[in-house]
Amino acid sequence: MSQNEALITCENVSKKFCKDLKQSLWYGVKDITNEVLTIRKDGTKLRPGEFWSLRNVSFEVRRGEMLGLVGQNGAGKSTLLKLLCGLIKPDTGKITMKGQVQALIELGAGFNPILTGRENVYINAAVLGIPREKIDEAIPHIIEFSGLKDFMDMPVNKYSSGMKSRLGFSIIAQLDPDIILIDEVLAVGDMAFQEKCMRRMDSLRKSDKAIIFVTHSLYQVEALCNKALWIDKGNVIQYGEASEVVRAYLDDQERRSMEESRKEGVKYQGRTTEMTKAYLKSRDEQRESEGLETLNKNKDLIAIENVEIVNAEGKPDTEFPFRSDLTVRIHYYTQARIETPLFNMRIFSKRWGGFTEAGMLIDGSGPDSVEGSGIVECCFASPPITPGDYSITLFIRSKDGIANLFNMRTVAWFRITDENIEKISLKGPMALNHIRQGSPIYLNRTWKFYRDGQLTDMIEATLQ
Amino acid sequence: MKRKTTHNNLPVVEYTPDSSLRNPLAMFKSMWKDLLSSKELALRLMSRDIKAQYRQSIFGILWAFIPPVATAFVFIVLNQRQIFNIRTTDIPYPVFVMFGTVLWAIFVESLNAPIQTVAASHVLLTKITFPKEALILSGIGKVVFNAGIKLLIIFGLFVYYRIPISWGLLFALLSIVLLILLGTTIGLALTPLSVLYQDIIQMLTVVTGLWFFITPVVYPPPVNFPFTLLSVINPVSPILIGIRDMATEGTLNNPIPFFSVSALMLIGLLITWVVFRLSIPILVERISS
Repeated sequence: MSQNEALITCENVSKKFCKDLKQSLWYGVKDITNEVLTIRKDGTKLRPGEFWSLRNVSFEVRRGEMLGLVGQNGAGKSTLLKLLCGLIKPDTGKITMKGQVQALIELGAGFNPILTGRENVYINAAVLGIPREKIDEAIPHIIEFSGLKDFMDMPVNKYSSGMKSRLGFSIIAQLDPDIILIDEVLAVGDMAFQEKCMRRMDSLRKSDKAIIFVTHSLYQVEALCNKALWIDKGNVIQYGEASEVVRAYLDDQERRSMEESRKEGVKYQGRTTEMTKAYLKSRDEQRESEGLETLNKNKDLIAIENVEIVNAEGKPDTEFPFRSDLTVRIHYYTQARIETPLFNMRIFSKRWGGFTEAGMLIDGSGPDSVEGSGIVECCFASPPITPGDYSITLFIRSKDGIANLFNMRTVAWFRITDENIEKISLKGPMALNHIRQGSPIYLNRTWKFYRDGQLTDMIEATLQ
Repeated sequence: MKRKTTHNNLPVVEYTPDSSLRNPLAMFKSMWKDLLSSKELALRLMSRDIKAQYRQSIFGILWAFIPPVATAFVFIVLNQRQIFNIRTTDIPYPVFVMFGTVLWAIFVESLNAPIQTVAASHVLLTKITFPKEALILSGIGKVVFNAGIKLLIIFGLFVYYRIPISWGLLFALLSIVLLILLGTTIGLALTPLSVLYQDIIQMLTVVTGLWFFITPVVYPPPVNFPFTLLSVINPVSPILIGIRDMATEGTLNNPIPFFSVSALMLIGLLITWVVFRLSIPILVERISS
């Protein structure tokens, strides 16, 4: 068995879906008729009311590789998984799967609510194709993994949704397929169980399988996957190294989230801090006892409790006169001591997107270490940012600049008002408009005019 | 879908837009393979459904008896009061009608089984890959289980009315399998459409209601033309009459319709199975959220 053979090959695969239910059902009848009469249909054309759920998707996953699928809700990730495990057929292209396939599209699908956990384990295992002898053997492991020993003889409808998923995953964890397809199922359960699942995934990755992993946790993609595929509205936007794809995707997400939040005028609050703190704590304890290895080692996290922008008087504000001092104050929390975290901010203009970055990655130096609760301030002394609406995204990297300690996220908004705008010598009827629309920052400049090699005129435009 | 095996024994599956019927040999092979591999799962699903069915019920297994007995009771009373007149039957009327309603109940149950099992398995179908034959088999299994309970009534009546037990009874029991397969074939043929349109289930309720009266369930087979046509155009009649004749008289009076329906039914079952298999991915696509 060759080490690097492609177990999953997906060539130019497309799939169309229909928005209208009635129409969709009617197409279903037609499709079945065509299928039975073996009429070859033209898969490349859309019928009225249809749209491309996936369009010309190609990739391959080799033994020992793990591919992360990222994209917004409805991008086509689940459709792709369903095509790969043969639940639905592609409209164009070809999919080749080598080896035993195990798809985790929904944990505990087929659980009967009235039957007990134990009874359901047997049924679920049979659905997944595990023979009876092996189930008897695996039962103690399943119970152990799930941590639901005391609930095994209780009907499943008394289980919480988290417990159901735990039981479901524990059954799956006993399988040994060549190809594994996972659809966001790890997003359930409490933090400790998620961590357990992550560890299991990590060991699966190392055991020469081909894995495709759909998740909204970019941290998991970066930590576990070698490669990533970013799909948007059925089209492949980027396919390549996991960290590169994740970064590009994050940038895009930030742009979108900024636009959304700006519309609503929401201010970032570290709402999840308590949860993150608990998570860090439980994970650190587990990491100490079992030692989780991920691709990005030393991946400790920093929780951001609050971010505020303060004015020259030291008061938090959201509106600032042109050219007034502006300080970004970040309240952070870390569970453990972290050496030289690099804080970075990117400033976005509502209209033009990111235009400048102020970060320690650029500055080339950071603090010796941080630990516990603390504050970082970044002071911009009379910045040449022109009147308009802006947002700040924050991301924190590890000392080597590789691992994300805090994923890029929009944390603050501010407005520069027209006050003091006379500091720019405005001329002409459209000046203010042009500043607003075309120029988030003001660059000092000098205009020179020449004729016949002679300087004839000079205009200096500078901020006071 | 094509199945191959590579040199290092990894199974290889290909998914393309083409219909798998384009390669019938490979398709029949995988149908056979799936049928075999679905046995265990079918048993599990069957025992799951039976357990669940009776766990949340006070009368439990009694519900297998109650509907046919109730129907039979109505006709026994109607007949005694001479409201509903039929020619004399060869065996005591209560046995005749009870046997008829039990067989009819078995048929209707097997007719509905594939549709109901598939409808109850939407989550499984849209989320997990497994041999879909298991659903059909578990449906048949449940019908057989319930049929076994229902036949206890018949057995009791035979003993009570001292009807001689003949070899024909054995054949009658075997032929009940044919009755179940007939119901399954018709039900399975309607299953793909029933997944897409609720109308099928509504329609089936109406049709089985009428069907009951054009099948010699509570009355003996008609002897005068044109009513004899009912047993020609109605595929259930020859099988149902055949079973009852064999059990009560020990002989098959009309073998030709009995065997021709059986043969057609087996061919029909194979065709509906193929259609069912082909339609599953398309149905999953249409019903998945």
